[in-house]
Amino acid sequence: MRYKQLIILAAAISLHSLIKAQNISIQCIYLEDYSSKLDNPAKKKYDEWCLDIQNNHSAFYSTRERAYQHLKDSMIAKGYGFHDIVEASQKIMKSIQTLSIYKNIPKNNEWTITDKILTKRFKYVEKIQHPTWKLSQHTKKILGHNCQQASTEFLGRKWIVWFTPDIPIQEGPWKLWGLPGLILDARDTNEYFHFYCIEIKNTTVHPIKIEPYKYLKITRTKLLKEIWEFDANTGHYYKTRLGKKWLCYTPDGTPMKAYNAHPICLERVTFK
Amino acid sequence: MQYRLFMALNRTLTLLGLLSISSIIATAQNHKALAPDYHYTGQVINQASRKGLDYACVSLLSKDSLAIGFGYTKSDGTFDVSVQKRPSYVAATLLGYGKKLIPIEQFNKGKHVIVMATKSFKIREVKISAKRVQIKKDTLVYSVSGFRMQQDKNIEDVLKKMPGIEVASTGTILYQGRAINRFYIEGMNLLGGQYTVGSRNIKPDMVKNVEVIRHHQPIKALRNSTFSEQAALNLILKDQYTMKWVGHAEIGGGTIKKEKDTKIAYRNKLLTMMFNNWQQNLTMYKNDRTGVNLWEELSMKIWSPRLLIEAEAPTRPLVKLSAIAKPNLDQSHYLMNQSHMLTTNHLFKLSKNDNLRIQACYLQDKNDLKETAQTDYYDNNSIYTIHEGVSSLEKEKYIEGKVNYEHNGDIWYIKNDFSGMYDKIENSALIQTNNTHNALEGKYSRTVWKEKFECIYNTTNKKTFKINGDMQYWDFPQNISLITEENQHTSEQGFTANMYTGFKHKIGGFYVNYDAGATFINEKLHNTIIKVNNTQSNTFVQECLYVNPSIMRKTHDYTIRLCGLFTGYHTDIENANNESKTKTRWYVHPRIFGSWQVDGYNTLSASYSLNYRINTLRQTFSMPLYTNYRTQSSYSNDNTANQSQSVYAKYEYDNPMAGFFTYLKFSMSEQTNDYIMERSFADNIVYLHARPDNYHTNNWSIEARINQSLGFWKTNLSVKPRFSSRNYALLIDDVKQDEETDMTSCELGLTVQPNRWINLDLYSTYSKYESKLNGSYSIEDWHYKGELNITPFEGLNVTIGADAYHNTDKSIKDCSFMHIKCDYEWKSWNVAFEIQNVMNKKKYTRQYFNALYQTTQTTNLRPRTCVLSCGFSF
Repeated sequence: MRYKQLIILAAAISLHSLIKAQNISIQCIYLEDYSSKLDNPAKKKYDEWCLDIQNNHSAFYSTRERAYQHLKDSMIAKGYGFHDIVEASQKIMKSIQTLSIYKNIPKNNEWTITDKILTKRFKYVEKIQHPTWKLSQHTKKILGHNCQQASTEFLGRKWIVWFTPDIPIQEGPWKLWGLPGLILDARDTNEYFHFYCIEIKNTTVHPIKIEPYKYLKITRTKLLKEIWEFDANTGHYYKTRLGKKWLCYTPDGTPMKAYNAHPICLERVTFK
Repeated sequence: MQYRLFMALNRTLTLLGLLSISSIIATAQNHKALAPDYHYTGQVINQASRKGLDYACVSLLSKDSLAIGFGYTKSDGTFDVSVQKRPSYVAATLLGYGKKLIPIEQFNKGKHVIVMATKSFKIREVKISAKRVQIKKDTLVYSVSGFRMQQDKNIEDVLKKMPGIEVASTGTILYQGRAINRFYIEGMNLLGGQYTVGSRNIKPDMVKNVEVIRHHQPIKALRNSTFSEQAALNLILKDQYTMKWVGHAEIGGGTIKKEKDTKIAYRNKLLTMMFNNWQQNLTMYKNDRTGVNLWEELSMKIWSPRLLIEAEAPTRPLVKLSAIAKPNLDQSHYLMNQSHMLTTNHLFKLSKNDNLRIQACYLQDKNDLKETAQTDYYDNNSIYTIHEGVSSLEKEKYIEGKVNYEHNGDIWYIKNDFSGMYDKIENSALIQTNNTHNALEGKYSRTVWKEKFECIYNTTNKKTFKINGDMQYWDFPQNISLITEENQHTSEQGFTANMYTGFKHKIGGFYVNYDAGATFINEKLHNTIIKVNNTQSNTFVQECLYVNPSIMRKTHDYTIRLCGLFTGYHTDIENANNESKTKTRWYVHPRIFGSWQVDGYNTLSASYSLNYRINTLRQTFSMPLYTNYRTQSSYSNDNTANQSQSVYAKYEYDNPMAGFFTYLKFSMSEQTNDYIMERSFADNIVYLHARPDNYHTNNWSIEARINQSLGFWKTNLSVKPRFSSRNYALLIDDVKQDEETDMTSCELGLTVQPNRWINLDLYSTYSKYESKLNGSYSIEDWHYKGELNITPFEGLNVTIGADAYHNTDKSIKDCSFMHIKCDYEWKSWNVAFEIQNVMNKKKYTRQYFNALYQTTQTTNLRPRTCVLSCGFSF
């Protein structure tokens, strides 16, 4: 009888440890420097991204954009006005990159992509795309981890990445994934985009959820086209979509010209 | 014929057949080349449940453990991985399970079962300091924790380690070689230009981030029309240090080991601060007898931009007692001070845009200095030598009060500054001059009152109106006793008023500005040599009217500004015999400035200006006046002006994310001078008299600074080479001769922290001074400074530092110093023990020269000083 109890206890402990072992929750912070306009690619912009990994789910989003959204939402909820929000947001770093990628959400082997143009939020769900990796024998150390180089041609750009087999997670920044280790550094060969990990930490487990906003359903191609049109000719986008004239001022008070330049997108697309 | 046809057909068929066979073989070989040679299948299962593990990674590794192929298990745990090259290992990894590594020889090629056991997985948390600098539009955000080292006791120490930022020895903060124009704490300008009192007393623990706001225009109403090249600094405090009173108290005492007796050393401080949204305060009492110059904390570091024609009260006395200059040595090595300082700064934020700032400070200082010097004057092929020994005691009392009101809105900007200052210096010295002993005294006092009003208004149609006015009055009596056993009483008094109004608007993308104003200067200089009862006085009165139109074009990439300052001067100089010289002159001072932001990293800027400066009373007085106890000077009383033109160019590269900053600047100026100093000697007195003789002075310099900061070992490396050359004329043996002096220098700074227990701070300078008249004569100096900081455990820091001064003159001994400091921090308490000048060095000798003289100067150093201090933060 005692023998049986011991077996049940041992089985319970091992089951618990199995469940506990699989409850992995990690957060990686990446810095990004990127070019946004093809006419002046040397002019770099900067952003900070977060990759939340929980078991087989992950979320990738701009920390600056999310901090701004949370500040704005909480101030609106407390009844603050537009000018208060603008003033408060001066103190934090903002981002113009509103993309979020949720992997294996809503179900396995699918990802949900959300993005925002002006005040409209868009969402689409599709099968996860697999980059085809070519492993190289180059190595280097990043954040104290041994890393190996790999390359791929994925969504229109050639990427060179460094992954670490020390952390056996097949995740990485943006839509790059599927290597036998976490990707710590990714750079496209045109030098337009560079993600590099600066922090890895254990976090407490809380389920990854899509930010609770109202989204307009859209397809991937349509969303890319919308973003392209907005970035390429903001004035025209305003006029055609909102029926309004583009009016914006620089901090020195001069009216800003609406963007009219060839944008550089992470997914290499060109629309007329 | 048929046979021939048959044979031809046969040959063709054979050829075709051979071709097809060869192509089939080639294709097969090609397929073989593309097809993987090594194929591995198996299953990964859980040790406990014996069930297949989904999405485990199976990698095929080479001999050096690098992945050459990989795949993932299916839901039943099975895998199928292929590679072209034979692997050495098969590795299976899955988060939450221990890694399995199987040598390829042991791998069962048929269907190997890899059993994986659960293993708690905790990632090794890592954070690198690349995040130490972040960019927020035009603002760089430096994380203090990313740069701070254990030994840093104030925020200035941390600023020195931040890339792109420099802190001069006086406390002036520079960003990319330009002084900052504001020092904010939590976005408020509490300290004004006296920010060193904050930067040297705010602890780094209190500060979360340091923001550098590039191209900062502090006046909101001008942000759309006047653009600044300077940056501002903003300290962002940690939340726990805001909204309440915080402070620090320190008590310290020790000994100063002198040859005959031992004196008491002290260092005490009581600092209270409060930073909240509606008011800020920093109040401090501090005293010191350990060689720290408290003056530097109170001196102004930020000056309002002024036009060339606007006059200001003099900050330094015209007359001083001693003829010996202070040594070119770190002040802590020779300063024998007894200083007491009390300062209070309070800022009330009356509303969102309204601030009222009240500042008051008092400083009492006593300094002992013992020096000897031998000065050889070269004259008419002979050498006139003066041997001097000075033992002086200087006492100073300084009191200053300021009230500043500022409304800084988008439409209106109103500012009123009122300040008063009184400074009293008493100097007594025993001076031995070529075997003549004199007990001499000097007394100076300076009273300055300043009032400044500024108003800017922006209309709704983007036009800007300005009106400014400021007045200053000063009284500066200076008494010294002379080598001739006479006393000289000199009094400088002056009043200036500047007033201008301006209008700015935008026409077709150009900012057009019209300023018009007037300045008035009235200066009087009385001089009495008491024993001979010789009283003389000079006056200088100047009225100036000016118009200053300018036009500017600014885009995102470039700025071009053209100014033409048109001035009309009316000057009246009256000499001791009541003879008056009046002159009216008109000048145009053109200036052009351009800057081009090539891309996100590179910026080029350049400027050219032509200026005319009227000599004021200090350059024109004609009566004989002793500028020190043994030097008598007089000028020509001519109502003259100097013309100068200058060119300036700068290249800047800043890549904050890579921690790399560099600049290269070049400046050149040419000035016409209208007098040359004539010398004569008699009875240990040097007589200098200005002789009208026009000549040109050319100066040019080139300076670069390269600064790289790396997250690796918290490394900060800076190199600052500089070369400057000056061409001017000297009167030698009554003949005007051209002289060229060149100065080459290079500063090198390196800070590294290989691990959390040790860090190293190294600083080295090299300088070469070269005089090129009558052949080339040069002297080279090296200064090495190093500090090794050891932190054996959290809270304890031991600093071992050394300084060495070396030069190429073999007649001068090298000089080196050593200091040791041990500091222990526990919660809010800290205890420190420090020994300065461990080797008890007593004297420091250095040589200065040009074509007219050579001075060998020896300064008595501060003896070994031991201080034990205890501090508490609240």
